[in-house]
Amino acid sequence: MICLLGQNHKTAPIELREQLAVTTDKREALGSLLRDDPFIQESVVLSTCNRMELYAVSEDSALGCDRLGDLLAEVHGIPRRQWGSTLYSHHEDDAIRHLFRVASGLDSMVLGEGQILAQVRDAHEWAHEKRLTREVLHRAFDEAIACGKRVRTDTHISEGSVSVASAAVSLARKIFDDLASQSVLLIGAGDTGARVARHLQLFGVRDLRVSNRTRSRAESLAQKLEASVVAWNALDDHLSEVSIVVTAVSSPEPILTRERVKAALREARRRTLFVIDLAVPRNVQADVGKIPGIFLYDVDSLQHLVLDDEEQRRAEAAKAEEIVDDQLRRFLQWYRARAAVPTLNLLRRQLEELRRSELESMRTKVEADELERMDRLTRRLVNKILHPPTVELKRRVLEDNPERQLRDFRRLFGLDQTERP
Amino acid sequence: MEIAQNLPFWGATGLYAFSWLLYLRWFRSGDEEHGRVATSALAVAVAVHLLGWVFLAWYRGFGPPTGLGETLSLVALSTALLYLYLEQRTDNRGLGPMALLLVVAIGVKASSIGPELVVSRLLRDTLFGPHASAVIVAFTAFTLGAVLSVAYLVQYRQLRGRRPGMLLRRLPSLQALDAMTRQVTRVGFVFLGLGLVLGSVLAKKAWGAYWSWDPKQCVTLLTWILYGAALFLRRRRDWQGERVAAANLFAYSTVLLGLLLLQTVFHTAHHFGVEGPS
Repeated sequence: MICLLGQNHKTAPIELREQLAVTTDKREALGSLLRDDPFIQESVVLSTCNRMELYAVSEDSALGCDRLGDLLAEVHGIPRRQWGSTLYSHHEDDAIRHLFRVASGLDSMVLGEGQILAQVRDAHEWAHEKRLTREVLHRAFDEAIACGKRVRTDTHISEGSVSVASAAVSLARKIFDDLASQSVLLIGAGDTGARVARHLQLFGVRDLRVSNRTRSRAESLAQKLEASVVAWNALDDHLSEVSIVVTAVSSPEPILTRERVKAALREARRRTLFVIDLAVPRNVQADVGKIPGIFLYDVDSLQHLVLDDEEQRRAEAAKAEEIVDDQLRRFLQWYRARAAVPTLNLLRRQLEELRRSELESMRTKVEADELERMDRLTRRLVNKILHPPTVELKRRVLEDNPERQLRDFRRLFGLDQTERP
Repeated sequence: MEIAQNLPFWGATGLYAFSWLLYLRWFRSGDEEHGRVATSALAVAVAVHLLGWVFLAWYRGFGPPTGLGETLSLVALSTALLYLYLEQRTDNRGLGPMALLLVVAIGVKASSIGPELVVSRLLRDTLFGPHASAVIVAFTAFTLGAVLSVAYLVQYRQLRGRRPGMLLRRLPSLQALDAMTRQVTRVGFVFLGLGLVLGSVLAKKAWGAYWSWDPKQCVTLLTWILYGAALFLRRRRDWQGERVAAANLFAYSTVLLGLLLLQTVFHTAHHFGVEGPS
């Protein structure tokens, strides 16, 4: 049976998540404990900055979860009572659904984020290498990765901006074809501006210039971002050289006035300028946005974009859940049909024994060739008798409560008595 | 004959209209699968269109296109082909709905005229093939340039309005649109120039003068001058982006004027096919 024990950003604050995070060396230790544990047949360790989850296959899923908790406590050397309440556990269908939702980014802090899919794939590959997985978890993780991919291609859940910084970058990429050839002027040395500048660098910007009233602050930020420093009184010269300006200075008066920007553009070789004003009160006069070729965005308009995108992602989440349901149905079909196999084998064995003993009792009474005919006849008969219940059981285990279906089936054919000698 | 007459005209236009609808569906949904279906449908339409031309040429003998109907049909075909090429190269279908709308419009006009089946003496001149081909390439490039300019202006307005919507995700960047527009208008300008020169040589042979102030000649020259001006003005710093896009659209309006209006409104000596001077 499949079980899952985990902790994520919803159930535990970062301090507790840090304690239980499975780092590389701890993963090795946990891996060998899992492999040697007599109660656990298969396992996968998934550990990211927002979650730590252990998936396992065990004879009894409650017992399996309990063992996972023990092993986790052993590896970290922290008694269970300290973090027990921050853990959640899921079993069977629920555990698989959870895994599919995680792989699809539906359980992530940022809905639909893409990194988790790669992390699920890594976790699976590692477990496979260490021979921790066999049939069930191998298939479950394969299907989870397929589900995650399908959600991302068939829905828009991973589209759009998740923060002001990423909204600014996606706008920049709709204005300029290649960010690598753009120069950026960051006015102000605060965190907000730095975050946007860093994001622009991640998407290719190489020429970043920082300017601040207090030069030392600009210098320390420039060092962190590998940028150059621009003197506060040389702003106008640089304004005419760059194509993206980010402003985040706390100042009661606007820094970039219409006249100042127009003058800078007169000097410029090109007339497209993307201005991102992150300050409140604003650093850029509103009518700068009316100059042709200027794209002016303030914090409000960027936040609106983020909210719009978030709304869209939420709407897409419903579609994604449908895909998860569909993939889950497919997996469970295989998984439950697999559960019916031992019961059907038992029934077949029982009927076969019955047939043989009846044939045996005839051995002295009939001729050899007639016995052979009887053997063929009864074999055919057994097969024909077995066919309808086999089909029916495989169908029924796909419905709700497969354990009950299996129990009823065993009871109906008297299979439990034969198991108990 | 029925097939040869219809396949490159109503047949292909119908298929273009169908793939246009598929592109619109993709534009709404953004679903990659929808996009692939739309592109495949367009590829089929282009293939049928080409096949239709082979049939037609086989029926009445190979040679340059004759008549406005055939010329427009070829403009539609090469626009669709050029669009497909751009789509593959930029890996972006955002221009599809607009480009195909134009292809369909040109196709409908072409189909309503239909092919010319009797070829006049002038059209057998060796210079006529290069003349017609150059003009077709030029008009194709201008058509695509117009699509790109509309896309540019729409995206420019949306970005300036600070509430960019669906278009923002589907279209290439402004800079890329601008660069593509420049490339295609350059091609168009060079080929239309070539077409004009070859045309005037032909005119000397047919009408005895290089230039005879024919309305069609005049409008085409105007088109060429306007595109040349738009290309020239690009060098100026304050004539970039949205102004160039608007200028291109204005120049394109003269293309439409030359191709569509003059044919019906004015009497022009520059007719093709049997009615033309021979």
